[in-house]
Amino acid sequence: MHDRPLRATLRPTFVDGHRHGTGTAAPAADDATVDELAIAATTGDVEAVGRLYDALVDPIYRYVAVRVRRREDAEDVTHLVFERIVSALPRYRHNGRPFAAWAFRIARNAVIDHQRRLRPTEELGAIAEPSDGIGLDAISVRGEEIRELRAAIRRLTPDQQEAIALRYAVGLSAEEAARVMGRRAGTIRGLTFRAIESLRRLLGEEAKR
Amino acid sequence: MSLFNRAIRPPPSLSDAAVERYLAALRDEIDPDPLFRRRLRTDAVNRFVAAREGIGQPARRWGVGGKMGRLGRACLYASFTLGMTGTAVLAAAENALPGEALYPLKQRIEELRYELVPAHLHGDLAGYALGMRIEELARLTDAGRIDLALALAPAIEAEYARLESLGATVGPFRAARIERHLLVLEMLLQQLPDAARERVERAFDNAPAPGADTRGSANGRGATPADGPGPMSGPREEPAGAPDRTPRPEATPRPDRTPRPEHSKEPAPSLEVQSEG
Repeated sequence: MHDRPLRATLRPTFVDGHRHGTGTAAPAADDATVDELAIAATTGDVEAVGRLYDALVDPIYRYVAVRVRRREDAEDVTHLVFERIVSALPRYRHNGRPFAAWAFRIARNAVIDHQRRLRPTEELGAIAEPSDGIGLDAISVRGEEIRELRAAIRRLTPDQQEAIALRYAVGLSAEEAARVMGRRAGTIRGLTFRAIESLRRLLGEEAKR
Repeated sequence: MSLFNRAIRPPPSLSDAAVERYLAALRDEIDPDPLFRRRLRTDAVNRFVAAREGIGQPARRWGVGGKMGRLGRACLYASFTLGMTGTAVLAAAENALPGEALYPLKQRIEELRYELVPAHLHGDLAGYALGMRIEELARLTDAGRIDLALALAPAIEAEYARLESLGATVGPFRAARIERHLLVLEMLLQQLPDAARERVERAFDNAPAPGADTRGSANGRGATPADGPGPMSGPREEPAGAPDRTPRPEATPRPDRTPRPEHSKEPAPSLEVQSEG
């Protein structure tokens, strides 16, 4: 199945306070894990906060971007997520669980709040991208494909969408995604499997048009 | 759908692996805008420092046994007291430049802050004031008001001197911020027209050295343009700006362009002490 496509990027993110050698690339000398940085940040280390941000901003943004409709929304929600993370950092206590899982749970809740706020005004079953030309695909050379894929993802169930976002947009393993979603790894694998099945069907239908 | 897209997209009968590859392509397409990423980083770090210092804590925490930080409380008191005197005017005064009607009020507000905020936080205020003077210098230079920009040199020097004298209460983060202020100042100076830059540098040279008693009043305010003509009165009389751009042989080699490079290299050992002590 899917074997950690962003392993290198997220390598430090979900490591519990120590590094695992992957045999592919040696970590830089100053390559502290996210958990180490989080612990340093709780002591007031500002530089650690900056590095923590650097490690988390891309995966969190990707996760959010797949789950919301527009770039502006993705930026707003990501902003909110980091606002909550850094505000809570002085009170954060490391209890052995990965800091990134905690951060992604904040992101997850922020996305859910965002979707709840939008729901009353959103058309039922609406899947079309906004035509304002500033969507996520605006920078893409394969804009149409991405738009179709995003539209297809939006037709999945919320759990399937989340599983896909965590596993493919962020690059987490099933176990890591399970920690964020509060489910079992087997459940995540099932959700992913069914999501891919649905996507295969939806994209196939789109191609026949 | 175009023929081109039909050719490059996955075939209608997709395999799981093809969908996964497709999804992986999505990941590569989604990255935050670099500008957004930079801005958010600054915001996150600033917010963290604010949270650490107790500024901007959610109000409900105070009621359930949480404790607002000393800096936050002091700033709150100061802001509240100052706010009583007219919020709109204060806001306008914050943006005032030397030579404008509200600038004296801005200076008075800065003085009041020193009176309202506990002594161990004066280092923060001095850092803020220095940053403000540098920003004013930049705005004046941008506006082509070189004479007023020149007149700010003694004030900047005075703020720096005060910051040094209060250095014992400044933490490492603020020391870094001061470092940044000085770097910005240096960059700003380099952007000035040659003639103006020379005069600014001369003004800095003529300004009282750090450590000397540069305060213009009993409450510790530094000399400012509004305090009257100081060492800058000479250069101020000259017409400022571009006309005087004749290359001067002695102006080309500039080994010492920064007013006080030693300050930007070492923010002074005394700055390492935490303010919350």
